[in-house]
Amino acid sequence: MTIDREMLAAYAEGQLDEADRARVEAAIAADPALAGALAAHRALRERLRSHFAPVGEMPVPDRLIDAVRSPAAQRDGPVDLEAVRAERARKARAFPVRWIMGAALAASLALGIGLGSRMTGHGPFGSMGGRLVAEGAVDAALTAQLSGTDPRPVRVLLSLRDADGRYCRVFETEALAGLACRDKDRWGIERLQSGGAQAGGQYRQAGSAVGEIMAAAQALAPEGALDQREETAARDGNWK
Amino acid sequence: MQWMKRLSLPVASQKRKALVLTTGFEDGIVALLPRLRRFAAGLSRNLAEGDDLCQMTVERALKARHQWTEGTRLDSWMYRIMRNLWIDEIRAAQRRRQTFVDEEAGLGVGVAAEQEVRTELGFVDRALAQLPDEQREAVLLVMVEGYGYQEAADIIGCPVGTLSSRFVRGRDALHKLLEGG
Repeated sequence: MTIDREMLAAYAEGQLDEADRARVEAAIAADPALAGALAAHRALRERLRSHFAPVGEMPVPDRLIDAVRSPAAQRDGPVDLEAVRAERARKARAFPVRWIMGAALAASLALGIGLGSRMTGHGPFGSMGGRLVAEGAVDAALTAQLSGTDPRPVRVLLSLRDADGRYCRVFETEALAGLACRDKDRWGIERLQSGGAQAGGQYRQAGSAVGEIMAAAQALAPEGALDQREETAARDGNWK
Repeated sequence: MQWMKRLSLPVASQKRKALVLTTGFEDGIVALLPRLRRFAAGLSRNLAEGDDLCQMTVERALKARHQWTEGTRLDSWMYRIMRNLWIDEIRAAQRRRQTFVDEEAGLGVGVAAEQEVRTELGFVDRALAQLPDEQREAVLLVMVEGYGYQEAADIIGCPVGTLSSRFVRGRDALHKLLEGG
Protein backbone atom coordinates (compact mmCIF):
# COMPACT_ATOMS: atom_id res chain seq x y z
CA MET A 1 0.00 0.00 0.00
CA THR A 2 1.07 3.56 -0.50
CA ILE A 3 1.60 5.80 2.46
CA ASP A 4 1.10 9.43 1.52
CA ARG A 5 2.78 12.37 3.20
CA GLU A 6 -0.22 13.20 5.34
CA MET A 7 -0.49 9.65 6.57
CA LEU A 8 3.19 9.55 7.45
CA ALA A 9 2.98 12.90 9.24
CA ALA A 10 -0.04 11.72 11.20
CA TYR A 11 1.91 8.62 12.16
CA ALA A 12 4.90 10.69 13.27
CA GLU A 13 2.59 12.83 15.39
CA GLY A 14 0.85 9.85 16.98
CA GLN A 15 -2.48 10.66 15.35
CA LEU A 16 -3.33 7.24 13.89
CA ASP A 17 -5.41 4.46 15.33
CA GLU A 18 -3.84 1.11 15.92
CA ALA A 19 -4.72 -0.46 12.57
CA ASP A 20 -3.33 2.45 10.53
CA ARG A 21 -0.30 2.63 12.74
CA ALA A 22 0.52 -1.00 12.04
CA ARG A 23 0.10 -0.47 8.29
CA VAL A 24 2.42 2.51 8.31
CA GLU A 25 5.00 0.66 10.37
CA ALA A 26 4.96 -2.24 7.95
CA ALA A 27 5.39 0.14 5.02
CA ILE A 28 8.26 1.95 6.73
CA ALA A 29 10.02 -1.32 7.41
CA ALA A 30 9.82 -2.13 3.72
CA ASP A 31 10.76 1.26 2.32
CA PRO A 32 13.93 3.14 3.29
CA ALA A 33 12.59 6.31 1.67
CA LEU A 34 9.66 6.33 4.08
CA ALA A 35 12.01 5.72 6.98
CA GLY A 36 14.09 8.67 5.80
CA ALA A 37 11.04 10.91 5.55
CA LEU A 38 10.03 9.93 9.07
CA ALA A 39 13.50 10.74 10.36
CA ALA A 40 13.38 14.12 8.60
CA HIS A 41 10.01 14.86 10.18
CA ARG A 42 11.33 14.05 13.65
CA ALA A 43 14.49 16.06 13.10
CA LEU A 44 12.45 19.09 12.06
CA ARG A 45 10.21 18.77 15.11
CA GLU A 46 13.24 18.53 17.35
CA ARG A 47 14.82 21.56 15.75
CA LEU A 48 11.66 23.63 16.17
CA ARG A 49 11.18 22.53 19.75
CA SER A 50 14.70 23.32 20.79
CA HIS A 51 14.48 26.62 18.95
CA PHE A 52 11.44 27.74 20.94
CA ALA A 53 12.36 26.04 24.20
CA PRO A 54 14.28 29.06 25.57
CA VAL A 55 11.19 31.27 25.27
CA GLY A 56 9.21 28.82 27.37
CA GLU A 57 11.98 28.68 29.96
CA MET A 58 12.69 32.38 30.33
CA PRO A 59 11.34 34.16 33.38
CA VAL A 60 7.94 35.66 32.59
CA PRO A 61 8.02 39.49 32.59
CA ASP A 62 6.26 41.19 35.49
CA ARG A 63 3.84 42.99 33.25
CA LEU A 64 2.31 39.66 32.21
CA ILE A 65 2.02 38.40 35.78
CA ASP A 66 0.48 41.75 36.75
CA ALA A 67 -2.02 41.45 33.94
CA VAL A 68 -3.30 38.28 35.60
CA ARG A 69 -2.89 39.15 39.27
CA SER A 70 -3.98 42.77 39.31
CA PRO A 71 -7.26 42.90 37.47
CA ALA A 72 -7.87 46.21 39.32
CA ALA A 73 -5.18 47.62 37.07
CA GLN A 74 -7.20 46.68 34.04
CA ARG A 75 -7.99 49.59 31.84
CA ASP A 76 -11.47 50.89 31.39
CA GLY A 77 -13.04 50.50 28.04
CA PRO A 78 -11.85 48.36 25.19
CA VAL A 79 -8.25 47.22 25.22
CA ASP A 80 -6.57 46.31 22.02
CA LEU A 81 -3.14 45.35 20.89
CA GLU A 82 -2.44 48.86 19.67
CA ALA A 83 -3.06 50.25 23.13
CA VAL A 84 -0.78 47.66 24.71
CA ARG A 85 1.98 48.45 22.24
CA ALA A 86 1.58 52.17 22.55
CA GLU A 87 1.90 51.85 26.31
CA ARG A 88 5.10 49.86 26.00
CA ALA A 89 6.50 52.29 23.42
CA ARG A 90 5.65 55.19 25.73
CA LYS A 91 7.51 53.55 28.60
CA ALA A 92 10.47 52.83 26.36
CA ARG A 93 10.59 56.50 25.33
CA ALA A 94 10.34 57.65 28.92
CA PHE A 95 13.71 56.08 29.72
CA PRO A 96 15.74 56.53 26.58
CA VAL A 97 18.95 57.41 28.36
CA ARG A 98 19.22 53.97 29.86
CA TRP A 99 19.79 52.38 26.52
CA ILE A 100 21.35 55.20 24.57
CA MET A 101 24.17 55.88 26.97
CA GLY A 102 24.51 52.44 28.43
CA ALA A 103 25.61 49.16 27.06
CA ALA A 104 23.97 49.68 23.69
CA LEU A 105 26.22 52.62 22.92
CA ALA A 106 29.33 50.80 24.04
CA ALA A 107 28.40 47.84 21.91
CA SER A 108 27.62 50.08 18.96
CA LEU A 109 30.93 51.84 19.20
CA ALA A 110 32.80 48.58 19.36
CA LEU A 111 30.98 47.41 16.26
CA GLY A 112 31.44 50.80 14.68
CA ILE A 113 35.19 50.52 14.96
CA GLY A 114 34.93 47.26 13.08
CA LEU A 115 32.98 48.99 10.37
CA GLY A 116 35.47 51.81 10.22
CA SER A 117 38.42 49.53 9.79
CA ARG A 118 36.86 48.19 6.63
CA MET A 119 36.65 51.64 5.12
CA THR A 120 39.50 53.85 4.23
CA GLY A 121 40.15 56.94 6.28
CA HIS A 122 38.23 57.77 9.43
CA GLY A 123 36.11 55.62 11.64
CA PRO A 124 32.42 56.35 11.42
CA PHE A 125 32.09 58.26 14.70
CA GLY A 126 34.06 60.79 16.63
CA SER A 127 33.63 62.98 19.65
CA MET A 128 33.24 66.74 19.43
CA GLY A 129 32.61 68.97 22.39
CA GLY A 130 31.36 66.01 24.39
CA ARG A 131 29.00 65.01 21.63
CA LEU A 132 29.15 61.96 19.45
CA VAL A 133 29.31 63.01 15.79
CA ALA A 134 29.34 61.15 12.50
CA GLU A 135 32.61 60.85 10.64
CA GLY A 136 33.95 58.97 7.67
CA ALA A 137 31.47 56.95 5.68
CA VAL A 138 28.54 57.67 7.96
CA ASP A 139 29.14 61.42 7.75
CA ALA A 140 29.53 61.20 3.98
CA ALA A 141 26.34 59.22 3.55
CA LEU A 142 24.31 61.46 5.82
CA THR A 143 25.50 64.54 4.00
CA ALA A 144 25.24 63.34 0.42
CA GLN A 145 22.99 60.32 0.09
CA LEU A 146 19.28 60.43 -0.53
CA SER A 147 17.09 58.02 1.42
CA GLY A 148 16.79 54.54 0.09
CA THR A 149 19.72 54.75 -2.31
CA ASP A 150 23.22 53.25 -2.20
CA PRO A 151 22.61 50.58 0.39
CA ARG A 152 26.28 49.91 1.29
CA PRO A 153 28.06 50.47 3.52
CA VAL A 154 25.66 53.03 4.95
CA ARG A 155 22.02 53.21 4.05
CA VAL A 156 19.95 56.27 4.88
CA LEU A 157 16.35 55.30 5.55
CA LEU A 158 14.60 58.62 5.88
CA SER A 159 14.95 62.29 6.72
CA LEU A 160 12.79 64.51 8.83
CA ARG A 161 12.68 67.90 10.47
CA ASP A 162 12.35 68.10 14.23
CA ALA A 163 10.48 70.69 16.28
CA ASP A 164 13.58 72.95 16.37
CA GLY A 165 13.80 72.91 12.59
CA ARG A 166 16.89 70.69 12.54
CA TYR A 167 17.21 68.06 9.86
CA CYS A 168 17.55 64.55 11.21
CA ARG A 169 18.18 61.31 9.39
CA VAL A 170 17.82 57.65 10.22
CA PHE A 171 20.66 55.48 8.98
CA GLU A 172 21.70 51.89 9.07
CA THR A 173 24.98 50.09 8.56
CA GLU A 174 25.74 46.42 8.68
CA ALA A 175 26.34 46.60 12.39
CA LEU A 176 24.06 49.30 13.72
CA ALA A 177 21.21 51.71 13.25
CA GLY A 178 21.12 55.32 14.33
CA LEU A 179 19.45 58.69 14.29
CA ALA A 180 21.58 61.75 13.54
CA CYS A 181 20.58 65.43 13.59
CA ARG A 182 22.37 68.28 11.84
CA ASP A 183 23.88 70.64 14.34
CA LYS A 184 26.55 73.30 13.67
CA ASP A 185 27.63 71.70 10.41
CA ARG A 186 28.04 68.28 11.95
CA TRP A 187 25.79 65.25 12.26
CA GLY A 188 25.27 64.77 15.99
CA ILE A 189 24.36 61.20 16.87
CA GLU A 190 21.11 61.25 18.82
CA ARG A 191 20.57 57.55 19.00
CA LEU A 192 22.55 54.50 18.13
CA GLN A 193 21.67 50.90 18.43
CA SER A 194 23.66 47.84 17.50
CA GLY A 195 22.24 45.03 15.44
CA GLY A 196 21.12 46.84 12.32
CA ALA A 197 21.71 43.82 10.15
CA GLN A 198 21.95 40.09 10.35
CA ALA A 199 25.24 38.30 10.38
CA GLY A 200 24.63 37.32 6.79
CA GLY A 201 24.80 40.96 5.78
CA GLN A 202 21.12 41.21 4.94
CA TYR A 203 19.45 44.27 6.35
CA ARG A 204 16.98 43.44 9.00
CA GLN A 205 13.48 44.80 8.78
CA ALA A 206 11.70 47.13 11.17
CA GLY A 207 10.91 45.65 14.53
CA SER A 208 14.59 45.12 15.22
CA ALA A 209 17.13 47.83 16.02
CA VAL A 210 15.76 49.95 13.21
CA GLY A 211 12.26 49.71 14.66
CA GLU A 212 13.45 51.33 17.86
CA ILE A 213 15.25 54.07 15.99
CA MET A 214 12.25 54.63 13.73
CA ALA A 215 10.03 54.98 16.76
CA ALA A 216 12.37 57.66 18.09
CA ALA A 217 12.32 59.38 14.71
CA GLN A 218 8.57 59.35 14.64
CA ALA A 219 8.47 60.89 18.09
CA LEU A 220 10.65 63.74 16.78
CA ALA A 221 8.49 64.40 13.73
CA PRO A 222 4.93 63.29 14.18
CA GLU A 223 3.94 64.55 10.72
CA GLY A 224 6.32 62.16 9.10
CA ALA A 225 9.34 61.99 6.88
CA LEU A 226 10.42 64.43 4.20
CA ASP A 227 9.39 63.43 0.72
CA GLN A 228 11.99 63.09 -1.99
CA ARG A 229 11.63 66.65 -3.23
CA GLU A 230 11.95 68.12 0.26
CA GLU A 231 14.89 65.89 1.03
CA THR A 232 16.72 66.82 -2.16
CA ALA A 233 16.18 70.51 -1.42
CA ALA A 234 17.47 70.06 2.12
CA ARG A 235 20.59 68.30 0.92
CA ASP A 236 21.25 70.89 -1.78
CA GLY A 237 20.95 73.55 0.92
CA ASN A 238 23.54 71.64 2.97
CA TRP A 239 20.93 70.67 5.60
CA LYS A 240 20.61 74.21 6.96
CA MET B 1 -38.21 23.40 55.33
CA GLN B 2 -35.64 20.79 55.97
CA TRP B 3 -34.09 21.34 52.52
CA MET B 4 -33.44 25.04 53.13
CA LYS B 5 -31.35 24.22 56.11
CA ARG B 6 -29.41 21.73 54.12
CA LEU B 7 -29.00 24.27 51.38
CA SER B 8 -27.57 26.89 53.69
CA LEU B 9 -24.45 24.90 54.34
CA PRO B 10 -23.60 24.37 50.68
CA VAL B 11 -24.10 28.08 50.04
CA ALA B 12 -21.32 28.94 52.42
CA SER B 13 -19.09 26.27 51.03
CA GLN B 14 -20.00 27.30 47.53
CA LYS B 15 -18.67 30.74 48.29
CA ARG B 16 -15.45 29.20 49.44
CA LYS B 17 -15.40 27.04 46.37
CA ALA B 18 -15.95 30.04 44.14
CA LEU B 19 -13.02 31.74 45.79
CA VAL B 20 -10.84 28.72 45.21
CA LEU B 21 -11.98 28.55 41.63
CA THR B 22 -11.26 32.22 41.10
CA THR B 23 -7.70 31.83 42.23
CA GLY B 24 -7.51 28.54 40.38
CA PHE B 25 -8.39 30.29 37.16
CA GLU B 26 -5.70 32.89 37.67
CA ASP B 27 -3.13 30.37 38.85
CA GLY B 28 -3.95 28.36 35.79
CA ILE B 29 -3.24 31.32 33.53
CA VAL B 30 0.00 32.18 35.32
CA ALA B 31 1.12 28.58 34.94
CA LEU B 32 0.35 28.79 31.23
CA LEU B 33 2.25 32.04 30.64
CA PRO B 34 5.55 30.46 29.56
CA ARG B 35 3.75 28.37 26.95
CA LEU B 36 1.58 31.26 25.85
CA ARG B 37 4.66 33.40 25.39
CA ARG B 38 6.27 30.73 23.31
CA PHE B 39 3.25 30.43 21.03
CA ALA B 40 2.95 34.22 20.81
CA ALA B 41 6.62 34.56 19.90
CA GLY B 42 6.13 31.98 17.15
CA LEU B 43 3.05 33.68 15.78
CA SER B 44 4.41 37.21 15.83
CA ARG B 45 8.02 36.22 15.16
CA ASN B 46 9.17 38.76 17.70
CA LEU B 47 9.44 38.25 21.43
CA ALA B 48 8.48 41.78 22.42
CA GLU B 49 5.50 41.83 20.12
CA GLY B 50 4.64 38.34 21.28
CA ASP B 51 4.51 39.61 24.85
CA ASP B 52 2.09 42.33 23.80
CA LEU B 53 -0.09 39.65 22.28
CA CYS B 54 0.26 37.62 25.44
CA GLN B 55 -0.78 40.51 27.65
CA MET B 56 -3.75 41.20 25.44
CA THR B 57 -4.72 37.53 25.59
CA VAL B 58 -4.62 37.55 29.38
CA GLU B 59 -6.78 40.65 29.54
CA ARG B 60 -9.27 39.22 27.09
CA ALA B 61 -9.38 35.93 28.99
CA LEU B 62 -10.04 37.65 32.33
CA LYS B 63 -12.89 39.59 30.81
CA ALA B 64 -14.35 36.49 29.22
CA ARG B 65 -13.79 34.18 32.18
CA HIS B 66 -17.49 33.42 32.44
CA GLN B 67 -17.27 31.90 28.96
CA TRP B 68 -14.78 29.34 30.07
CA THR B 69 -16.44 26.10 31.11
CA GLU B 70 -14.91 24.65 34.20
CA GLY B 71 -13.59 21.18 33.58
CA THR B 72 -12.60 22.00 30.01
CA ARG B 73 -9.04 22.70 29.10
CA LEU B 74 -7.91 26.17 30.01
CA ASP B 75 -4.86 25.93 27.76
CA SER B 76 -6.81 25.27 24.54
CA TRP B 77 -9.21 28.05 25.44
CA MET B 78 -6.37 30.54 26.00
CA TYR B 79 -4.58 29.47 22.83
CA ARG B 80 -7.80 30.00 20.89
CA ILE B 81 -8.17 33.51 22.29
CA MET B 82 -4.57 34.30 21.42
CA ARG B 83 -4.83 32.88 17.96
CA ASN B 84 -7.99 34.83 17.18
CA LEU B 85 -6.49 38.04 18.51
CA TRP B 86 -3.50 37.46 16.29
CA ILE B 87 -5.64 36.91 13.20
CA ASP B 88 -7.48 40.15 13.98
CA GLU B 89 -4.11 41.82 14.33
CA ILE B 90 -2.83 40.57 10.99
CA ARG B 91 -5.93 41.93 9.30
CA ALA B 92 -5.65 45.24 11.10
CA ALA B 93 -1.97 45.50 10.19
CA GLN B 94 -2.75 44.90 6.56
CA ARG B 95 -5.17 47.82 6.64
CA ARG B 96 -2.67 49.97 8.44
CA ARG B 97 0.39 49.66 6.25
CA GLN B 98 2.10 52.99 5.78
CA THR B 99 5.29 54.16 4.22
CA PHE B 100 6.54 55.89 7.31
CA VAL B 101 6.90 53.98 10.50
CA ASP B 102 3.55 52.87 11.89
CA GLU B 103 2.85 51.56 15.33
CA GLU B 104 3.98 48.19 14.07
CA ALA B 105 7.50 49.21 13.22
CA GLY B 106 7.67 51.58 16.16
CA LEU B 107 7.27 48.69 18.53
CA GLY B 108 9.53 50.49 20.92
CA VAL B 109 11.43 47.31 21.56
CA GLY B 110 13.07 47.77 24.93
CA VAL B 111 16.71 46.93 25.24
CA ALA B 112 16.20 43.63 27.04
CA ALA B 113 13.60 42.42 24.61
CA GLU B 114 15.67 43.67 21.73
CA GLN B 115 18.65 41.63 22.81
CA GLU B 116 16.53 38.56 23.27
CA VAL B 117 14.99 38.97 19.90
CA ARG B 118 18.37 39.38 18.32
CA THR B 119 19.65 36.14 19.77
CA GLU B 120 16.45 34.40 18.73
CA LEU B 121 16.62 35.38 15.12
CA GLY B 122 18.13 32.77 12.93
CA PHE B 123 17.45 30.38 10.15
CA VAL B 124 14.41 28.93 11.84
CA ASP B 125 12.75 32.30 12.40
CA ARG B 126 13.41 33.43 8.88
CA ALA B 127 12.10 30.17 7.47
CA LEU B 128 8.97 30.34 9.61
CA ALA B 129 8.43 33.91 8.54
CA GLN B 130 8.11 32.74 4.96
CA LEU B 131 5.24 30.36 5.65
CA PRO B 132 1.66 31.46 5.06
CA ASP B 133 0.06 32.31 8.42
CA GLU B 134 -2.30 29.35 8.31
CA GLN B 135 0.56 26.91 7.79
CA ARG B 136 2.74 28.53 10.42
CA GLU B 137 0.11 28.28 13.12
CA ALA B 138 -0.56 24.64 12.26
CA VAL B 139 3.13 23.76 12.44
CA LEU B 140 3.58 25.65 15.70
CA LEU B 141 0.57 24.09 17.39
CA VAL B 142 1.44 20.53 16.41
CA MET B 143 5.22 20.46 16.45
CA VAL B 144 6.16 23.07 19.03
CA GLU B 145 3.14 23.12 21.32
CA GLY B 146 2.56 19.39 21.00
CA TYR B 147 -1.18 19.47 20.32
CA GLY B 148 -2.95 16.61 18.62
CA TYR B 149 -4.67 17.31 15.31
CA GLN B 150 -8.12 17.52 16.86
CA GLU B 151 -7.01 19.94 19.59
CA ALA B 152 -5.09 22.08 17.12
CA ALA B 153 -8.07 22.13 14.76
CA ASP B 154 -10.34 23.20 17.64
CA ILE B 155 -7.98 26.04 18.55
CA ILE B 156 -7.89 27.25 14.96
CA GLY B 157 -11.55 26.52 14.36
CA CYS B 158 -11.13 24.40 11.24
CA PRO B 159 -11.85 20.77 10.32
CA VAL B 160 -9.22 18.18 11.23
CA GLY B 161 -8.61 17.37 7.56
CA THR B 162 -7.82 21.01 6.85
CA LEU B 163 -5.45 21.16 9.81
CA SER B 164 -3.69 18.02 8.61
CA SER B 165 -3.14 19.34 5.11
CA ARG B 166 -1.98 22.79 6.29
CA PHE B 167 0.36 21.16 8.74
CA VAL B 168 1.93 18.91 6.14
CA ARG B 169 2.28 21.69 3.58
CA GLY B 170 3.87 23.92 6.20
CA ARG B 171 6.15 21.15 7.36
CA ASP B 172 7.31 20.41 3.81
CA ALA B 173 7.90 24.08 3.02
CA LEU B 174 9.81 24.57 6.25
CA HIS B 175 11.89 21.50 5.63
CA LYS B 176 12.81 22.74 2.18
CA LEU B 177 13.71 26.21 3.46
CA LEU B 178 15.88 24.86 6.25
CA GLU B 179 17.62 22.36 4.02
CA GLY B 180 18.50 25.28 1.77
CA GLY B 181 19.74 27.35 4.72
